[in-house]
Amino acid sequence: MLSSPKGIAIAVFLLAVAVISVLGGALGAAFGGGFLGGPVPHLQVPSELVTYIGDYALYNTVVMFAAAIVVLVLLTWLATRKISEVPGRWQSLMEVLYEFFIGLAESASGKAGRIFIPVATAIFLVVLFSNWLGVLPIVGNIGRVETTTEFFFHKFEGKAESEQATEVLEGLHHDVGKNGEGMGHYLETHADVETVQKLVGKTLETYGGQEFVVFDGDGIRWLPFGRGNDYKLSLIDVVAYDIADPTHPTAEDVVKIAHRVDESLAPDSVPNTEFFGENPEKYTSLAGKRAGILVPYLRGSSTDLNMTLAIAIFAMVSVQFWGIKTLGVGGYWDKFIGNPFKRNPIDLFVGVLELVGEFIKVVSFTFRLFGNMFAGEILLIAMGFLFPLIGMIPFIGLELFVGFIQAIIFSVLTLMFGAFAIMPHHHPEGDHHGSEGH
Amino acid sequence: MPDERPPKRAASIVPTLARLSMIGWFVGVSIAGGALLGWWLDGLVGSEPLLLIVGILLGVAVALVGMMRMLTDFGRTQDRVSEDRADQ
Repeated sequence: MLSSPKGIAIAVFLLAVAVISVLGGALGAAFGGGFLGGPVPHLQVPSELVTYIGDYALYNTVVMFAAAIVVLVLLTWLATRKISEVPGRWQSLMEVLYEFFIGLAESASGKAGRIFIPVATAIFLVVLFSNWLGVLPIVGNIGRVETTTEFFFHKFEGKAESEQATEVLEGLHHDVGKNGEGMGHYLETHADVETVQKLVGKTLETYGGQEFVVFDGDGIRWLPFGRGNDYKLSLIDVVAYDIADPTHPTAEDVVKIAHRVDESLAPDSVPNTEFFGENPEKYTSLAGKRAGILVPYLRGSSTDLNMTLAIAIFAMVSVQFWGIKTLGVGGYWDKFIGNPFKRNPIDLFVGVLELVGEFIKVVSFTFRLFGNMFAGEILLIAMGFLFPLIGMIPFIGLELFVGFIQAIIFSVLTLMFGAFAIMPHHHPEGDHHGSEGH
Repeated sequence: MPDERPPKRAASIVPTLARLSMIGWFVGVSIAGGALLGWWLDGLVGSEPLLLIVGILLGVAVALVGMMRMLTDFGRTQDRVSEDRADQ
């Protein structure tokens, strides 16, 4: 490859990209580079709230799950639009998939296994598409900015311990919009100063370390390249920087805090000497901007425990349904406990443990999928952070592979548990095989 | 027709791998779940660490029984696959 000038040019280009990537990322930031870097993103396990539709809270993973369903409907429509003997591209893709599950179900349970196929295939497709859509480049980096006001409002709302506090919070809920607009004014003017002081102190004590990033832009906010961790401010930095003891604020302090909650990094505020002590110009350049947290509009739906739990419950309920349908309620019950008075105590105990195991299976399904996909998301973010431009590329491939494997595992296990569920209890081999006509 | 299709190779490797990995998760979740439940009940009743220990032991028992059940069921489906192959 290196013998032709074209090859050399390509090699030099790739090397240059790699060098720029390393210097521009978090690694280079330690040596004065970091011009491509961003701040360490805010990661949290629960999904983030996008907006309210009326009273319905729309979360970002829900949006992605809906998108996965839309893609799936389109794909199946393409595959089944013109069904013919000689299948088209989409049709043959679906046929390959379907035949894989037919083969699997029949090898596990013979013809009786066919009842598993629709559910197993559906689970495979849903999990696969929710995994794969989470890798798209628009996921996780476009969103709205949750300002310090909104953050403070939400955390403040959850802090009721005394009767007076509950009263203050009820008033807050009533007077302040869902996005926290007018929070500062409310704190400043509320009559019960002492309770407000206590609540502010507690909120700052618990969440004071929460970090915010300084965004550019008015209206549409964005992060320029290179705005790395030097531009991160904690909640205390933003709202309580010149207050002696933010966890026990005086009445005057509350007025100051209230002002800054509504006007974070306002042009007229005094520099925070602790944070900007060595570099006061930086503060001047930040004044007037807004500190906030990016709340992405889109987030892979399998990184939400609720979604993986829902599919796990659906899978295990289907398994119980198949067992009961095939063996009857009595026959299926017999697998676990049977008649508790006729069995010996050890068998009974084992049966109870097996019954508990059915619930454990739901939990293992849930955490396996969630764990793998959430870890993958963090891996991608970490790689983008360490080596911008190219760091993610190999791992996107890995994530596509992991997403596929997890979808296969989820659906195959559902099918296998179904196969176990329709096997009668403690009967020797061959008892039920003969009836299936092989 | 699908009835006469010979079992494919992939169709026996994938479920084997899936099931073995499931056993790993099952054991972990059972023990962790038992421990968490015991710890939580301890907090309610105030009997630390008695119920935590009981919870862990029950979790281990659930893990053991479930693992044995999965492995025997596994053996039974394996047998039927080889029987099916012998039939053909």
